[in-house]
Formats: sequence, structure tokens, C-alpha cells
Amino acid sequence: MKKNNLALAEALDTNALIDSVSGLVGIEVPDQHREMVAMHLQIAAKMADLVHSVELDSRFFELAPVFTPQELTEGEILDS
Amino acid sequence: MIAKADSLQVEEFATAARISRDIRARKYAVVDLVAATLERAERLNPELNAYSCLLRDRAMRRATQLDQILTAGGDPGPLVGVPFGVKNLFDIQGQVTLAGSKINRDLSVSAKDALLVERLESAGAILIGALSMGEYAYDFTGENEHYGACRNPWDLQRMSGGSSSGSGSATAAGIAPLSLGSDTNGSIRVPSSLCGLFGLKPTYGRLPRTGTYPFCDSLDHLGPLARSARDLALCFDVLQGYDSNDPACADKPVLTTTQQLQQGVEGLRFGVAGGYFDTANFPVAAAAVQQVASAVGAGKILDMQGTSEGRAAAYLITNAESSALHRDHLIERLEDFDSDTRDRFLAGSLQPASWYLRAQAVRRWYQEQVLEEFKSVDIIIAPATPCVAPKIGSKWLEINGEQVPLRPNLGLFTQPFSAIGLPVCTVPLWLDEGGGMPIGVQLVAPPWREDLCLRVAYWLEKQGIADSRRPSL
Repeated sequence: MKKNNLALAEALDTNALIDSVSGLVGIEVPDQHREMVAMHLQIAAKMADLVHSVELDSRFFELAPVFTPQELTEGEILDS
Repeated sequence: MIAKADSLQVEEFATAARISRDIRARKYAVVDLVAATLERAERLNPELNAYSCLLRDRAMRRATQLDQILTAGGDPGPLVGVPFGVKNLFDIQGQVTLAGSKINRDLSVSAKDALLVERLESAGAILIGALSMGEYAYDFTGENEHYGACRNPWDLQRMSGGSSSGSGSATAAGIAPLSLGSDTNGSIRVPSSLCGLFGLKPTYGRLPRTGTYPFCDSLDHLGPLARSARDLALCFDVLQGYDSNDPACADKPVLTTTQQLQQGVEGLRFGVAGGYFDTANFPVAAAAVQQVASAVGAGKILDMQGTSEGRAAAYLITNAESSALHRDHLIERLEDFDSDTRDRFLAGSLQPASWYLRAQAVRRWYQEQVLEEFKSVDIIIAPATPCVAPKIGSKWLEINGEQVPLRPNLGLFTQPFSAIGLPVCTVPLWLDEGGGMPIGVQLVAPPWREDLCLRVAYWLEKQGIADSRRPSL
């Protein structure tokens, strides 16, 4: 199960990530918050390494949230 | 003859079941009980900071109505006269839903109550106030920069736990016989553990979240905190019912748990969570788990494989979904956040989508691993928190020799079970090792079997293993 262990966390350049992605998502990270944001990103990267260490069946990528299409009643369909 | 409020001192820590029974017997009037509860709450709240708002006029009006119904021979429901509070992310008609934030002060007042508030009041209970919480539920401590720390009734210098901090503090202090909280990663179970209460996080999708301010849609649960297992069951039974307004709510029949409480533990198979849940470095948590395991005769240690990965999945999902929810706030009102949540929301907003998607796939995988464990056991016993309530202001926790941030890690043992939506009842224990402070143990049941964990909680209470006690205030 343990493949790719700590690859993301070790390779992560938090400053580069903040600089590149903050503009992309339109959320500024002011300098005074950068150190703590970087710390939280580093923790997240360790978590990402853990979820990537799981060997999932390569044929499937089943996400936990299930979307169930809402069923319309006959009256609603005829009214539309 | 209906007693006056000044004779109600003995009722300060009464359970909901006792209150309801006494009111039905007309030992006292609902208005007298509610007035006494409000007076005590007004006296204690300046120190505890458990209530963010008390609803005296509304509660007294409702109490008067209930007395009139009782006098006329009517039956207002199984929770008649029971005062309760709700975490301030539940909508209350005429109030702003703060969700522990400064930013939400600018929202309009709510047009109606949250659905679970309506259901409790339909059962005869009386909403008396909104309860403090960590900002936007992103918290396990009970601390809040905008509104101050919510304090633990067992030691005012210690954390109440969060994010349902006011729910834990008020119910432990005897100023809310019942309270409702929310639990995304442990926010009912952590304050239950630190304040010495029974807490129920039902199965994901069991209770509709209609009319509550969200945190993380994939993981948000609602549930009760109480002073007894029976109160949890009474409350849970009336809270259930499908509602299509919450897309996550499952269309399941109501599971009546109260009548099953006395079935005991005979025939149930127990296992103790090992591996990730090992408590070798947490002596109080270890002693608590051992005491429960010995009482029910649990000898089997479960590997709980995949838990680190499952917990990591919950962590990443929380980061991503909560940050997406608050994107506009992060752009427009960044400095109005509590600094402890702001930096985590900012980091979450920068997290790659591939991490989130992988986490959602691993979450399903982790569920399969734990469901395997339920082939050999009916209840998994696990610690609720690694330690008793830390001192307010503590920032770090030592885990396996490593200093880690306290705020996310008080939920170290709760987060894996909410990640896969399992029903969990937390029971309070009082051990010499705890130095006068309580600690909780989680009783984890298979999906949709809240009846099992409530049965065990009730049995432990009857055996004197777990109980809610009365702090001196």
C-alpha cells in the first residue's frame, strides 16, 4: 500500500505554490500570513502523500459523494 | 400544586427525561422551570461564555403555551418542557446565524428556525438560546478571537473543546439539559469528551441539515449532546425524518432507539481500535478505553488498517470544501476572519484539485476497510480525545514525540469515523489519571445502527462506568 511515500511533501515549494496558485484562484495571500499558510500547506502535502499511498483499483476512481438525480413528479414534468 | 421557581434548585442538573416526567406529573410548571434555567444561565454565562444569545421572551412565551396545553389535558410531546440550546450555526427565527464569525454579523436575520429546532419544539422542548462556537466550525478548542474562549465548567482555565463549544459548556454546566451541535470531524465528540457529556454523532445523512450554516458539505453532521444516554436517545428519536431540502439526507425509516436501550450488551461483539488508535502515549485516554473494554469484555484488538489514510482524506476534503465555501469572504474580508481559521482557509483555497479528488476516492476505500472490521464486531471502542481538556491558549500537542498544532489534532481520534459517516456515541469517564477532568470514549457502530451504540452507552451508564457529573459553579 505504501508507494510514493512523502514525495509531495518533500518536493513541495510552498512559496512557489502560493505565488503561482493565489493569482490563478484570485485569492491574495498577504505577506504577514504567508508563513502560517505555508505551514498548513506543508501539513496538507503530507496528507496528500498519505492518500496517494493507497493503491486503489486502477480500473475505478469512485468518489465518495454520490449524486442522485432528483426525480420530478408527474405533475411537475407536465407543468414544465 | 405547582411548585415555584425557588424550589427548583435541585433540578439544575436534571436530565431531559426527568424534567419531562416531572412536568407531566405537574410537579412544577414549565414557566417556572424555564425561568429558573434562564436565571441560572444569565448568572453563569459571563464566566462560561457558553451562550451567545439567550431568548428569554421567546422561551417564556413557549413555556406559557405548553402550560396551557398541559392544563387543558393535552400532550405536547415526549420532551415537554425541556430547555435546550443550539450551536449558533442553526437558524433561529429573528436572529442572525453567526456561525461563530464576525463576517456573518452582516447577514439578515433568519426567517424561520432550522428544521431540527422545529422538530425538538414539536416534541415539547423549548429553545432558550444560541450557543457559542469556533469560527465557521473550523475548531476543536472552543477558542474564538471575536467572542472570547468558551470555558470548561470543570476548570474555567481549560478549553471546552469545539467547535460545538457552547453546547459542551452549557450542557455540562446544567444550563441546557439538551443541546444540539454539529460534527464535521469531531465537533460534537471532542467537547463531549472534554466537558464530560454523552454525545451522539449519527450516521452521515441521517439527520437533515436544513436551516444550518454549513462547513463542509461532504462531512457535516448534526446531533445532540446530553447528560445521559437516555436523553440522547429521546432526542435522536424525535430529530429523525427525511427532508429533501438537504441533498445529503437519506430517505430512511425512523429508527426508534429509546425502547431498545435496556437490551443490554449481551450478544454484542466488541473490538478495541488498535493501530492508528494506539494510546500508548496518552495515558488518560488509554485508561479510559481499557475501563470500557474491560466492562464489556472486549479482548479483540482491531488493526484498523487504512486509518491514517482515511483521516488524511478527511483533512484534505475539509480544507478544500470549506475554503471553496468561503472564497468570497477570503477575497473581500480576509482580515475579518479569526486568524486561526483564516490561515487554514487560505491554505485550503490553494490546495490542488487532484489532492481533493484522491481524498474522496480514498474515503470510499477506507470505508471498505472499516466495514471489514464490522464482520467480526458490532461495536468498535476507541478513544475520543488524546487528552483531557488542555489549558486555554495551548497551541501544541505532542504526538509520538512530535509537536503538532493542537487545533486540528484534538480531533485525531474522531476524524477517521466521521470521514466515513459512522454513527458514534461518546461516553464520559472520570479517572484518577484525569486529575478531576473527564475524558470520553467513542462507541462506534455500523452505518445506520445508532441503536447499538446508544444501547452500550446506556448500559455503561447503568453499570456506573460512564456518567455525567455536576461541576461546582
